[in-house]
Amino acid sequence: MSATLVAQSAIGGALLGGIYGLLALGLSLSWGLLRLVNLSHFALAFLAAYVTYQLGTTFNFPAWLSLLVVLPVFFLAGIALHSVFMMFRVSEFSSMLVTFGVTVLIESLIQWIWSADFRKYETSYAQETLRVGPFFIPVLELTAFACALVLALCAWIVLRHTMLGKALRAAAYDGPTAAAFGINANKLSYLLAGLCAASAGVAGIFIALTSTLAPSQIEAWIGVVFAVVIIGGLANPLGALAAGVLIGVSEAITMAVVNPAWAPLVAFSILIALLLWKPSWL
Amino acid sequence: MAMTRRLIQAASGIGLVVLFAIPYLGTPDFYLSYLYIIFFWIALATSWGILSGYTGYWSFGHAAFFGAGVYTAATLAGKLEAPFLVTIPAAAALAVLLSVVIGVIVFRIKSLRAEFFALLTLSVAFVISALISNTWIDGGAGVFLGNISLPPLGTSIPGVIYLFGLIIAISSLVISRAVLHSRLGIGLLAIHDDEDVAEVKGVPTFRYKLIAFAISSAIAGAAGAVHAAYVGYVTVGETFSITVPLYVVLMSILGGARHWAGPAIGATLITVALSLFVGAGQAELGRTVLVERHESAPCALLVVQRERGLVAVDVYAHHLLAEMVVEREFGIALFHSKLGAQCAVRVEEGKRPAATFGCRAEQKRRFAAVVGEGEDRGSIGQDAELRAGRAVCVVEVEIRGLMLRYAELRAPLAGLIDEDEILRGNGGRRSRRASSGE
Repeated sequence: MSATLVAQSAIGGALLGGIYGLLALGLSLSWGLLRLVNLSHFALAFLAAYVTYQLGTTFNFPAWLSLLVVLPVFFLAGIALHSVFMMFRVSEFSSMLVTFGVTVLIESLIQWIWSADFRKYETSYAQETLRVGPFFIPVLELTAFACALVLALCAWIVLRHTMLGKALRAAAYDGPTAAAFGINANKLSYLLAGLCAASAGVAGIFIALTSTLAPSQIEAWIGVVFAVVIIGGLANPLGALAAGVLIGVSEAITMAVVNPAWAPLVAFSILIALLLWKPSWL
Repeated sequence: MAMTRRLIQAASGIGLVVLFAIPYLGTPDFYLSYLYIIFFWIALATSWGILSGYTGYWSFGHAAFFGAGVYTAATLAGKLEAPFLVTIPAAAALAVLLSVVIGVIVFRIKSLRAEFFALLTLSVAFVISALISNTWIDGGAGVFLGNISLPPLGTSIPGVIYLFGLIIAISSLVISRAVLHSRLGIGLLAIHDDEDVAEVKGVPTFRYKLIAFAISSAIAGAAGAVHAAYVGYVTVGETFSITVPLYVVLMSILGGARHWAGPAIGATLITVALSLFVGAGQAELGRTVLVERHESAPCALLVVQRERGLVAVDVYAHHLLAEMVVEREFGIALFHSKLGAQCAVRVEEGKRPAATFGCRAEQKRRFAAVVGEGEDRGSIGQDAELRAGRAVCVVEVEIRGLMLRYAELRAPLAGLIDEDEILRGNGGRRSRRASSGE
């Protein structure tokens, strides 16, 4: 086991952590600010991945062009879904069940359209790597990471330093008082739900480019990304990314040093330890 | 009032007698297994309700206790060849131990309520599954319970399992009812309504939660032990899949979590509904193995088509096949395992099923997990050609761990494999996520 190999895995893990962070971002914001534990976030991401795959293979759309399709469509889809949740006044806890139902629906839809076969979106640039010293850095993952970083930074700046972000946080912290100060929490929640869904779309594009697609794969991401969301802290965009990197790196190093099969243990052990020892963090 | 009460008692007494008599009346195995599945979910959902339904501490980790039971049975009965009757109390005891350890830690932390309790229990289930999968308990290949000795109760093997399922389902209902009508149950409901107030009013919340957790886990563990015998071939992926906790929660919610009979009603409704829409499901794949093992039928396949994504296979015990073929139209069915592995089965009315089993890893490279009798790990994932008359095996490929697993093989399917049915696919490469660790 050479140090280079471990470092190389750490780099790979950190970049994979970018995708975790990207997925966790929308989940974290909607949980923290809308009080919705949105399991359908994963299904939306996979739907976006399949759309990207389809656009790319049948119409030869480059990925950045499908971004232009996916972003507005998923923004609207997020708003539509949110209006359903609002209509039934879904509470924080039952939102898990409702959104799981939505996930199953979307999963069946994907299975119906694209079948349960495994699909891989092959692109010419998927294998490109940069060489930095002794390390190889896959360009695609790097792009995903950069994208996650930019989105997380934007979300952080908006939440911290703009009226919009302050209004969102105020509405989440104390709805009635915020309403008394003239904040229309309803309108804001639609905007945020749309943005979260759009971020799921972005994550989906990178999922399409980097991994194998199958409807059953939706569940494979849920556990790890939930761990990332909790570790990162709710409604904390930069925390989500940092936690994604933490989990990604620790998983990758476990894979390299111990055994690939032990990797899932790491994420959840970190989560359990955190829940038990530092509940006030959450 | 007394009249209705007596009527209800008489009716349930007769109902019980009928239920216990069913396997002795020559009921086909298919229906016994179907009913067993309902009992199984009743036991799991009811046991979940004892802690989570009554107190509102929603556990998403029910699979951990169920899985502890499954693997206790797999280890004791499957590997150490202990009598099956011993494994049930052992499974329950292990599940209790596990729940008490978790409960003693978790119930002391005030902030671990609602969704955080749910997440914590879910993570515990994931961790336990990873531990089992990576140690000698399972080792990644799954455990076969082919040679377990079920007590002979004068019925077929599915009949024995049916009776065990029935006993566990009824016990779970009786226990749940007794808990609800006791001081413990009142305390648990009070915890649901407002834990802090209950504590102040003198309800020993910590102790009550712990007891409820232990009872709930014991039933889940016992149900797991029986289910291991039913499935016949246990894998970590199936045992700890997210469906167990989710179904259990959905069933309890649908039926009503604050009543002892609620989860059972929900379980029955959902199981029946699922079987109508989805077909019998994957569990029957394992069951077939059992059929084959115990009755030494030449081979077993189970086909259930579910749109196109499907879950496949048809039981090859003749009566079963006949019934299913009459009931449903099967075309070519594809059985997908977790990744890439698939089984193509063609079933036509009046014909014997033709099956191939393939595992694709590279694009345009067809491969078959063709294996002869005996274990042959090397042949999977290589360019093996599928030859007619060779055996079929259960293949599971785990994506995150980059692992190919497969279990034992069927007896030769002499003349049954139709080579043309190997389905070619555009199957993907290995996942990049998994390969990043290489």
